[in-house]
Amino acid sequence: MRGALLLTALLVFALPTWASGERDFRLREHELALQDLTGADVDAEIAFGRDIAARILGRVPRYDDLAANRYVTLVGRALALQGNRPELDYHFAILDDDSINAYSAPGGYVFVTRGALRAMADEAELAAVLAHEIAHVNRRHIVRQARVRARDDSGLGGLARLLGGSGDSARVAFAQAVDKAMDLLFVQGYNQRDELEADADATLMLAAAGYDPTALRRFLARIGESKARVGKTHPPSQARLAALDELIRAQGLDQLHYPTVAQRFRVHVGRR
Amino acid sequence: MNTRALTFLLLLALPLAAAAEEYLYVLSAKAKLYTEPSFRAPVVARLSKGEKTEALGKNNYWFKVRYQGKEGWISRLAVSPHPPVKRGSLLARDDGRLQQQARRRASVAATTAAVRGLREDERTRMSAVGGPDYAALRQVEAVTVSDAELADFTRVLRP
Repeated sequence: MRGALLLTALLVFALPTWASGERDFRLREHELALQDLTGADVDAEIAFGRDIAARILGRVPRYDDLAANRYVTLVGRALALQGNRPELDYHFAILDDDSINAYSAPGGYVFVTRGALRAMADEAELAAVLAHEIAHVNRRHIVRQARVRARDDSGLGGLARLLGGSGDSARVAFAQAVDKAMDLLFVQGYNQRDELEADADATLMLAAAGYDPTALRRFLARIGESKARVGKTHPPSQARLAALDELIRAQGLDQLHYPTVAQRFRVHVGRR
Repeated sequence: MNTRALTFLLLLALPLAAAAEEYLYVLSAKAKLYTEPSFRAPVVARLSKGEKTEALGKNNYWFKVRYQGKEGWISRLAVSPHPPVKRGSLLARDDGRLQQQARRRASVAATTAAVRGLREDERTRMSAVGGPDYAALRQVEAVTVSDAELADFTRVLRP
């Protein structure tokens, strides 16, 4: 009896492993982190992002051209519709800077430099860069890397508490988180895992939106070969290009022949 | 088998029952269900935001789901294990309060630096970064596009 009980217990223990293997359904870290999002968490994420976005604009001026900013906003919104964060209001803007770069802040703030626009060949490449930044937002890469921890590892529980907190320690911790985010955006850059995730998401987002899904690969390859001033926080490394090649090959994305929308891009961005 | 052993086994089996059904909700505006995990595969169904599917499996980029009795593959970007979250209401608040908060945070920057034990050159770099520009941020947030304009704009893309 004792032996039979032990055997049954072992079988029951073994079942979940077998079951999950059969269904192959295990949520990844970021999916788990999104599972328990509340309205307060989203408010906190947006407030955190607004602070960072305002600091980005304090450091690099906005390019004051309404028509061009509206155009970038239309491209960005078309992509954001493909993502899984409908609770966010996305905002897009051009930064008046000659370097080739793009930034995003939590909560849906996405910026692209005039230098990056000049280096692009068509609208699909603009869409690719915006999609890459949207992916950083949607996966909450900054929130997670800023490590605002209190309740759990997802970051947001801690962030919501910090924003609601009135004590010095809460304010110091919030300021630390913003400093860390700025350091990440302007000095250190994302870690390679986050960059590869954002590249893959961006490429899939392009396909879902109906843009040429090889556009990010094209853009990264071109700026990698150019002598232009490329932002050091988004280096177009061989590892990124190789990962994109593998994704495009495995998914047959180069067979889709979706539009690049080059002419409209030239009309809106040509002389900027 | 005695009652204690039975209870023990039932407790062990509980997580299995809980994990029996996993759901994924469509959070993108629209999403297509394909016969294979590929954008090139035939489309089985078109789903809209908020619709619920039963998760059956996954690969790197796709979830296999059941929707209205049909099985197919949906992009991992379009779905989430939670239904749509009620959107943040923070932008409706007045900016004055936010700027006050920003000033309050700036006032503790020195404390922050002290807490972090930053060297003087690092503190100098931090202060050279510049303060937040909320006026520019409001201009960014003021750029809006209507749903009709967006629908017209995306007409040239692959449907």
